[in-house]
Amino acid sequence: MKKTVKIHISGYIFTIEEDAYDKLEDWLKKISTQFSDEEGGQEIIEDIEFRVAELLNDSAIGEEKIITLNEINKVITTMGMPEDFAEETRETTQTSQATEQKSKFNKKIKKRLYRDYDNSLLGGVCGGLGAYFSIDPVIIRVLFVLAFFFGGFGPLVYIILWIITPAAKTSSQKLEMKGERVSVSNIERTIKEEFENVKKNIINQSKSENYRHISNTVQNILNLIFAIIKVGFKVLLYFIAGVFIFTGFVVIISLFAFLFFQSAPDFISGNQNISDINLALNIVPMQISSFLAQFGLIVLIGIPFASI
Amino acid sequence: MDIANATAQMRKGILEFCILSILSRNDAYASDLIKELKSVDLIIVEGTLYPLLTRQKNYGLLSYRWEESLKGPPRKYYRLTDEGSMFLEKLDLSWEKLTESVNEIRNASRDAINTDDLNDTV
Repeated sequence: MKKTVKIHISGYIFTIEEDAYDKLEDWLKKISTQFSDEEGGQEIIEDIEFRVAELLNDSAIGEEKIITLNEINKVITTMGMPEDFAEETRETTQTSQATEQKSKFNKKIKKRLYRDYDNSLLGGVCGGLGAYFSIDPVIIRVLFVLAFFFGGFGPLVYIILWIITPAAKTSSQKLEMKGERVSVSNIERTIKEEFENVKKNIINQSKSENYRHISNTVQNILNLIFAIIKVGFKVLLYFIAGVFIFTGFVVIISLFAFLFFQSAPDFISGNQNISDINLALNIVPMQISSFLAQFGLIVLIGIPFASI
Repeated sequence: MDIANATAQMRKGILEFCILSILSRNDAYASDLIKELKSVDLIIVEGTLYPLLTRQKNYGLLSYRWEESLKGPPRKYYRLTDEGSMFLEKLDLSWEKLTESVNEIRNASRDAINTDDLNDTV
């Protein structure tokens, strides 16, 4: 037994199995992303959809024919993957408006701040900032060192940035860091570049093993120190958070106790204050106010539980 | 520069030329074009054609009209515009010149290799 979905392509209704639908949708999405930025892209996508409808129509002659994954696979093989046929169209648009379009893309893409481990001396903070502002990381490193001498806040800022910014690990994060579009071909390019880098590094390493060794040890030691600082910082944060939570909890419990039994634990109210609180509550008739307060407290405690 | 890219580049130009050439005989819709281009191995996947057609249309080389089909969705029939036929004429000329030049160079290279081989054996 399989679930089917009803879809319409270019005004034609097809009954299609769910897995086949997923595949078709995925493929059409890829095509849309490929052409949506191009001039006349919408028209290309429409033409392709028309052709898909036609191909499916050929294979689904009977009214109640259900389209299976097999048929979708056939359609995709005849039409091709967007990467395959976009190659031949992209070049022409590049010759005419390449630079213009590229700069437009760069502005449109949301850059994000990551730590760049590929360009790092310590934690990659400067490398990431460099990528973010599109300037050489060395300049930022110099600024950090200067900040250390004049005022001394450089290392502190560095450590905070190290803690709060994530490292760019995946290919798409690396593209986001540089502000490039996340598309199939771009990711492919980054992976290729990375591969080249690794190859280069291996060659470099064998050339200057000693130097690498020293710099690696220094880096390892510094990494360790920063890791310890980082952990310490986190522990401190958790400790503070814990204290807050505990205090809040105690206060709520004691207020609860106070409202229900009309007497607060000594450490909260202090015996002499209890009359003051009673006095304050007496402004509103006692029963109503205590009902309101109890209701409020139940809601207050209930909300976090309800959200779980 | 890899061979796949180089052939793709070559094919792209030739493909545009062939589309215009086919349409100069009579109007056609995408599937007709696909069939003919596939039969001579000029395209491998159909998707290649649609971006090209749209671009040529936007350049004013082609126009199209909708025609109802007995089965399936309506079809876009493409037609060469006057501008398109003029463009095709120019392309025809430059293609002749190009093949001539390329052949000359290829023949010369081939001859050179052959004489090299002869020299080696001697």
